[in-house]
Amino acid sequence: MSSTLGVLSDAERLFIVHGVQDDLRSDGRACEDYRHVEVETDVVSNTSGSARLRLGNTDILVGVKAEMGEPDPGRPKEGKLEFFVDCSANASPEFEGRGGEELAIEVSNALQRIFSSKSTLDLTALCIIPAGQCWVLFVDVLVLECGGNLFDAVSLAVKAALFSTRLPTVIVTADDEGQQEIELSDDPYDVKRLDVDNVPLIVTLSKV
Amino acid sequence: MPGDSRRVPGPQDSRSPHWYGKQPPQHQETGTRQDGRADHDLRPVYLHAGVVSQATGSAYIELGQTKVIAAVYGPREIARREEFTMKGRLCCELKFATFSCRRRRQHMQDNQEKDVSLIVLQALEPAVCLDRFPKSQVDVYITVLQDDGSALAAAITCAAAGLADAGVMMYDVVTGCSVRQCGDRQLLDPSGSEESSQEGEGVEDHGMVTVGLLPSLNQVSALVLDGHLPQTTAVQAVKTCIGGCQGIYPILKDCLVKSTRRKVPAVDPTLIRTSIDGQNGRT
Repeated sequence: MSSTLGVLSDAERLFIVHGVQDDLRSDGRACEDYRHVEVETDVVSNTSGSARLRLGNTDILVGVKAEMGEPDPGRPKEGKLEFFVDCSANASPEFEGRGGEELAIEVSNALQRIFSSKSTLDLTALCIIPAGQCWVLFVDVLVLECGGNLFDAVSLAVKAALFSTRLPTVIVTADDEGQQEIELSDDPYDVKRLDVDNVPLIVTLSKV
Repeated sequence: MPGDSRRVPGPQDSRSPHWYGKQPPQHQETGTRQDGRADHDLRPVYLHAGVVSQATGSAYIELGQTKVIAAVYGPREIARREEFTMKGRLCCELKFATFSCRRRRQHMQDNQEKDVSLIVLQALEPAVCLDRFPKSQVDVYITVLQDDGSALAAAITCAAAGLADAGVMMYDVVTGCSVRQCGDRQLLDPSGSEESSQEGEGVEDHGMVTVGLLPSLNQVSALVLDGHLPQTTAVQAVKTCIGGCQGIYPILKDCLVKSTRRKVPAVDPTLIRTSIDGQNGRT
């Protein structure tokens, strides 16, 4: 990962190394301490679920949009989860244009990899009609500010956003000709939530 | 999704016939593997360096039925002038040929290929002496011609052999190896059917570990784990991979010695003696 976020002089580098040896980092934390985390859910009204997370100077906004689509032919009883990460230009000037693309692809590949295991999220709960219709959840991550530890913050925000996702209850009826009709419940409180207990969290360690 | 406007795309809603056919035979839970190997046996390796004449260095590897070719160009001038650095740059691009996997791949590099390229780059970077070619870059282009399991491991080994063949100065060559964990079984160097086997998913531990190792320094430069494994099993799988990497190292050394012998013409001992006699004034 290329990062020219700051060039350190030798003296500064030595200062950090000596501090770490005494279990003290530049902002006063111990080596294994996290920064202060603030999480807010349901921040974006047009989404099925959303979350905003601040981890020190890192600011992440995640929106989950649920749409109905066709399931994968090889997995007819499962829904789909699609990730897209956008490192916006206001996070860092080097993300302008296509600069942030490399980092965005790395993060979205990491998310794809951790969600590829079947035990993280039960995709069969997203099925509407087997081999017919399923919920496709588009999880869009927007990096508003990049203040370090991006992977951890993104995984926390995605977990919070999936937790807050509300899918309208679907009623499948068979009409006269045997075709299946899909109806969404009118009641805005008649929703289905996802079980995010097993959604993993990323922890990053850096060796100085 | 940006399309490739130079090529005629196939029909958009075409599907592989495999979805409608019977599932490929799964490997047995106990006993020997489908190809008769023991759990910790590597497949036969064929490695040949110097296959692409136009490249500075190249290598071709066959790990059983997995075939990968790598070409190395450089050190050459960095494409974009703003990126001058006092350290050299290593760029890696991996592509699965469209016909290489069970499902047809796209012509453009998709996200998975970009991810694998990044992993191979991270595996090779610690081994290359980047400060030996400042303001220049070395490009490594890897193509997977046939994927029958362990494509990433094969790509790492092949790229390292290509770099060595190109004469890029390195601290050590990198070897790659993978392990597939199916419940209690650890299968070293899984074949295609073992890699994509869905057995035990959701109930037992299952996962795939790939390790890139610098053998003589005994340092790990790349580690990828897919799936979910308990802590002790994961550590054990990594150790097995390291053992596999050490097993591939002699093959890599042998291949590089052979390719160097081919490049350097053998010196005829009789010619040396006559020239020395001439210098001493004796004709």
